[in-house]
Amino acid sequence: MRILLATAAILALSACVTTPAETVSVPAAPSAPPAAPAAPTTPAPAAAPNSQAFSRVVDLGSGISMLIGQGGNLGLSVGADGVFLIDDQYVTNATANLAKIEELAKGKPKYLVNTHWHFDHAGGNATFAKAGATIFASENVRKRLSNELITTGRTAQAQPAPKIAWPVVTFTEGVDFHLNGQTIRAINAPMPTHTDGDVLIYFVEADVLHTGDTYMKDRYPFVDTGSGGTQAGFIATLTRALEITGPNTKIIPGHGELATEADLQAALDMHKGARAAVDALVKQGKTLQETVAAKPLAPWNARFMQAGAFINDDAYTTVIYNELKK
Amino acid sequence: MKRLASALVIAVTLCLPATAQLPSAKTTDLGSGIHVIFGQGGNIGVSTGPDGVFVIDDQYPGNAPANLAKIREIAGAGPRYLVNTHWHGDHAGGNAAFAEAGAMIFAHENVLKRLSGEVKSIGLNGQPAPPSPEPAWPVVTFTAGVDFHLNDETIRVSKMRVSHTDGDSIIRFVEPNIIHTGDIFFNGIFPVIDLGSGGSVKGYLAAMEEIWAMADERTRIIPGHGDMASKADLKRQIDMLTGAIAAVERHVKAGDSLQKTIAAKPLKPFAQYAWSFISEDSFTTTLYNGLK
Repeated sequence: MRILLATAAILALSACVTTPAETVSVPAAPSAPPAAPAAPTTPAPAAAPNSQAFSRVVDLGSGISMLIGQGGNLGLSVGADGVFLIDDQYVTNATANLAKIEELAKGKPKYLVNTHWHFDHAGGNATFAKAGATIFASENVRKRLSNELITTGRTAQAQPAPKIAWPVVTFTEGVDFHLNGQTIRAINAPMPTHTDGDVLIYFVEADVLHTGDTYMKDRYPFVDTGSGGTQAGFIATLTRALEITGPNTKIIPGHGELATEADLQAALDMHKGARAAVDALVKQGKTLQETVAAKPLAPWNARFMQAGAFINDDAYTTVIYNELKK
Repeated sequence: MKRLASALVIAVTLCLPATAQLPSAKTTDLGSGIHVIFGQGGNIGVSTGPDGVFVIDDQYPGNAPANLAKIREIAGAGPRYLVNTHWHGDHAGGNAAFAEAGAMIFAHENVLKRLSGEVKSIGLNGQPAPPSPEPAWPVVTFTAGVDFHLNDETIRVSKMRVSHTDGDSIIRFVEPNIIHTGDIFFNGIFPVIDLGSGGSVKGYLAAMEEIWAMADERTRIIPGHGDMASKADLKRQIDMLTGAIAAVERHVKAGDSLQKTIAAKPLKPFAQYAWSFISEDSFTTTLYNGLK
């Protein structure tokens, strides 16, 4: 048990997105429950990392809400047919999140979909499975949580997640849920993007799209190449997402605030523009060092590189360069 | 009450009479926690173990309580997951009762479309089947398939081509090498090929051949109807259907009318496959209509 916990803590710390990045510039939303005490935007240094329940609830109508806190954004559907949840953040805040969801939804999640395997999105799986949720995910989520596929790089895990954390129902070509008056469509990304097991989730009638980490609002992406991710995938997947969305679609990004179709389009334009800009330098025979030094992503920095960003323009340039040189 | 009435209508208008060829429920233990319940309606597959009870098909509404009791007796718990191989009332008729008992129902999306009446299914009487009540509808649907990872097994649900209907799935228990074919295999009897639910004669034969190619000499096959089968039994059924199609197609190509084709008794060599629900003449009619 102690080993598991220790491993989990290490994983939580080394997982792709850490809290400081996503707690920057979070204004108090009007829909935040008034009774809730103002959550500190940055956890006190002494507090256990990523141990707090989500602090904000954005009501999207039709029983659907976006829950914002530490780790990836959660999506929640509440209604007569049961509680449906998208992602579950960290192993360290799962118990707190579960309690708060139960209070909000008047029931425990019955259906849980992982947008991908990372520990700031699927870290709470074991806690939620023990509470009765059936976990659904892309086949590769199970393969990476179980270490059947070995992840390399910054999200590498020495130990597989405990078996109870592995998804029970896996798919490669999507599933639809017919729940709470909604058709909820889990759509496999058309190619490896953030990882090789990304799923988009679209609430058809409510017109709400959860993108997982294939989209983080106004940020350069984290292309987790050690989990099979590709930059070309961001172009393919956001193109697919924009086929689904309309001008009124509410978009829950993997991290960051609620977004619009125009925001998503801006991200796709950035990905395409960045790739073209780096490609031009690759074609001129520039080295990686020369390419990074040329600052090809400068036109997009104002929008996509916030202060202290997890992925800066140099990091994104490097990923694109390496992919183009393959 | 209304639900019961409409369910009965389905059972009657649909395919199999309430008393199919097997007189009473019997169960077979296949090992690895997998059991088959043979009885009225399609064969039920059950996987038991610590991760929850997984069930394939649920027969009629009328015998759902008895089947639920039987499953609890075998598994020590009620069903958590239920997969419909297709929409027919002798396979998915117990859905509402099973959902009420806590089962999460999975099926190909066309099963939902036909149970909900979004797509009309034309019965043998030429009338569309009435829709099922909403609690009977699958909650999770797919177009290609899903895998369950339960009870230390991989359970693979795969949508097959248009064959018995337009929404048939087969279920493979990968490690113990067991296949539930749904109604793509009637063991030793003429099959139902439900043209009114989007089925296809040539697709049916091709789907059987696909299953045959997936199987090996040790595979145990749970057919939709009939006794447990081997790859060799499936081959016999494929040979029968191949011969039957050729015999009827000859008449279709010659421009013979349905009446003339039936009168010629083209399925005489396969007479031993006739049974209470599908006679030589009715199977000739299905093949003729499907091939024309």
